[in-house]
Amino acid sequence: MSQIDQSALDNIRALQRPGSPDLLGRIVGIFVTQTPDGIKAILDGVASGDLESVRTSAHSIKSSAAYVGAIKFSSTMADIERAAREENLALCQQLIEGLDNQAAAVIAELNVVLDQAA
Amino acid sequence: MTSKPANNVKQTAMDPLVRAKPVVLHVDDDVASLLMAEGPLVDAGFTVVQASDGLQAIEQFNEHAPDLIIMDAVMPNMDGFAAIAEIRKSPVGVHVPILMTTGLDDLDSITKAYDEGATDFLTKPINFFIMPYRVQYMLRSKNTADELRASQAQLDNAQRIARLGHWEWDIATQHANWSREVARMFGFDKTNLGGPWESLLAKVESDKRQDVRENAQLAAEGAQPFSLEFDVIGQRENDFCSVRLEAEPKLDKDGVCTHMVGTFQDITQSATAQKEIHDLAYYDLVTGLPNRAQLRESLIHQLKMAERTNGKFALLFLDLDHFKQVNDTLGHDAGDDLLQQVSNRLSSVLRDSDVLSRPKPEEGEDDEAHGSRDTVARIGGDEFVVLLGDINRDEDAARVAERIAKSVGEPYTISDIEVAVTTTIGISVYPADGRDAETLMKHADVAMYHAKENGRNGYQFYSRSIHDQALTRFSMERELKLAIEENQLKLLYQPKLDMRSGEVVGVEALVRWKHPDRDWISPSDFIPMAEETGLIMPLGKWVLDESASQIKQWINSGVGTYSVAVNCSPVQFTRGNMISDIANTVRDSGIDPSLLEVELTENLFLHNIENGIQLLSNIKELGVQIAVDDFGTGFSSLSYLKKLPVDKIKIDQSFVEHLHTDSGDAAIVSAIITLGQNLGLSVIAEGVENSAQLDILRQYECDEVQGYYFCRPLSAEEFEQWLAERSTPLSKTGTDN
Repeated sequence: MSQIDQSALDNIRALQRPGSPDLLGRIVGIFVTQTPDGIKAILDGVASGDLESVRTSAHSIKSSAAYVGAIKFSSTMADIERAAREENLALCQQLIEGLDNQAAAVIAELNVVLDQAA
Repeated sequence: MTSKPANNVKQTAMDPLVRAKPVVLHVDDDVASLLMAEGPLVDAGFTVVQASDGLQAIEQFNEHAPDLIIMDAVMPNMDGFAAIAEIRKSPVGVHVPILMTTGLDDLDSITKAYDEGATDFLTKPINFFIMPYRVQYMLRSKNTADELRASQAQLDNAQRIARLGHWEWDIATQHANWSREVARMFGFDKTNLGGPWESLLAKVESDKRQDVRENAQLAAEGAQPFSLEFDVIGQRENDFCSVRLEAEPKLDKDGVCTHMVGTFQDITQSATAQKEIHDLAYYDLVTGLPNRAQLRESLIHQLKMAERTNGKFALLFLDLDHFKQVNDTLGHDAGDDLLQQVSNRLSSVLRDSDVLSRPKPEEGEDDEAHGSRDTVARIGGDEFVVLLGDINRDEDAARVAERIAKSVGEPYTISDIEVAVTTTIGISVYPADGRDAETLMKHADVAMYHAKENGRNGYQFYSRSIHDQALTRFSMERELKLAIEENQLKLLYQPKLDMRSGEVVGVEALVRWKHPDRDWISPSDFIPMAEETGLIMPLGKWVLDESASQIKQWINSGVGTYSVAVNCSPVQFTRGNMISDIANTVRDSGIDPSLLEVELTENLFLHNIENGIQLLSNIKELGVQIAVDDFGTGFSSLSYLKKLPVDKIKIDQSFVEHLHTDSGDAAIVSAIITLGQNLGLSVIAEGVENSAQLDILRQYECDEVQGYYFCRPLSAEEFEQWLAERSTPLSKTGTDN
């Protein structure tokens, strides 16, 4: 099952201005480059109990994930952000189960998009 | 994450009015948002500047002065809320529209965004196609608000320059709003632009406040415009503002006045300027005195007053003899100096309250209240005019003229040189010498030339008869003063007899004046003048002292113990210190005070019975006797008599005169005697001239009698001799046994 809502990517394509650098490529590129670091910060944060770090990282990934159409992933990030804001470590621990795999799936799918665009 | 057209932005950043494209600062830590928003915003005609957190946002804001800010809420380093708060603190940032972007689920953030000063918000995920429209809409609103602010500022400025403010008064709520310029005029804080209507009225000068309140109320009720001028009192003392109020009614659809609207114009400066113009036109620059024009106005005012009150006033026209020599020898500056000194002396003569015999104004009452005032004016080179308002007698003008001549004639020191000038004065008197300004001025001038013909340094009335009469009376006044000082006055004594025993019980002291060049002068010729001029005070004191001394002398020389009655004028009580005069006489002479009797007339307590009682009580406390003189002629009601602490009443001689021929007079005399005796008072009849009168008085059981039938007024020596020769009391009647 696809992790990516293609209409979101279409929206980005529609924002492309003639003569400008490839917008979709740049946005997806930044996402696939930066997201693994963000995920690592969340996992480390939950492990060490640094929920502030968890919250900011989750917030950051949440909105960019939404723009690239990773709706479910974005929603997971929203859950984690809320749990971290509420300082619910147990819930955070629960929510990060399988997060690695989910992120990898999203990134893999977006890498395909990048390849097509290139 | 820097602005793309950075160079262009920098050139025009600080002047939003001249730059071609509006600048939008987009702040978000999410690069994707920045990238996606940029295209649509640029397409919509904006220059885009970007920042990735609050700190950067403030830097960019300071550098580019954006027309609008899109601000993410949650960001690292400094979040959007803190950045907004910071930006709103700067003067440039107060009004810049800020569009906050927040997560849809974050209601707290939305509330907080508005609290910190966000203009509007967008929820994420953002629709970047719609965003530019939102931004454009916000900019239009902002521009409209800017224009409003600019036009408000322009209006404020225009009003400030014009010193004009506007206001509106809601009749129903009594609330008023006013512009900043009104706040300035009324001394309010510049942010205080509304409040109760009454708070404006409270600042109006107290004399006019009720007037303004009523005019406004009437105008509102009648839906009429009105205008008024008054002073507004500021924060500090002596800080005031003259304003002209113009007001018009504002009607609702039924024609009912719901509001009054209007303006206040600050006319302080024009009022001051008007006064300066007035001063230039009406005052002499050298001396500061009123000039001919002002004199003319004062004179016309005085004429109106005098016509209304049948008053009398005098115009003194004077010039300086030999002024031209001073001017020619010492120069114009010296001449001006002399004129100033002369004007000071003229003013000072008029200020001297002894000069005129007119009553002093009551406390809190100024000369204006009397409708008259004295004016000294300089009407030409060395010509001055003194307007003496409201004189009682012509000799008042003579006295002032004499004082002026004396004062002006004293030497002057001009540039260390002693200078002497004299003045010659012509006097015209209203109404005798003229009933209009021109005639009075002309006649005073003519009089002055007559005075010069008669020798300088003098004064002359226009009318020969007034001149002679005034001089006679004026000289008589001086002579009476001298007479009191030099003991030319003398007391005569008329005996008073006890009706039953026929014994002499006392005498009434009557003052006579032996003029050195003339014969005896009757009291009726000089007492009224003494009362008018105030000479009655030293005269009255002399009579008291002389009487006391006579009482003592008769006792010491064995002639007998006789009481002496002295007549007192109401003037002595109202203008003098009669009580302390009596006390001093009693103390200094050491006589038994009950031997001194003061005779007062009814009209002393006619106007104020309470004061009269107080006065009489004060006299009684001194131990002297009190008799009511001329009883029956003044006060018609006898009821007051029982309240007065008097010892004796004296039946007026007009009743005694016809006692034996007029049954009406007889009835009055009988009634007075009965009434007096019932009140425990002693009753004396004066002016007894024949036996018929005496018989009736005896029949009515009058206590004492006095009159030519027994004895005329005698000198002290004659009285002693009369006593010695007198064998049988009341023998002349031949009816007693």
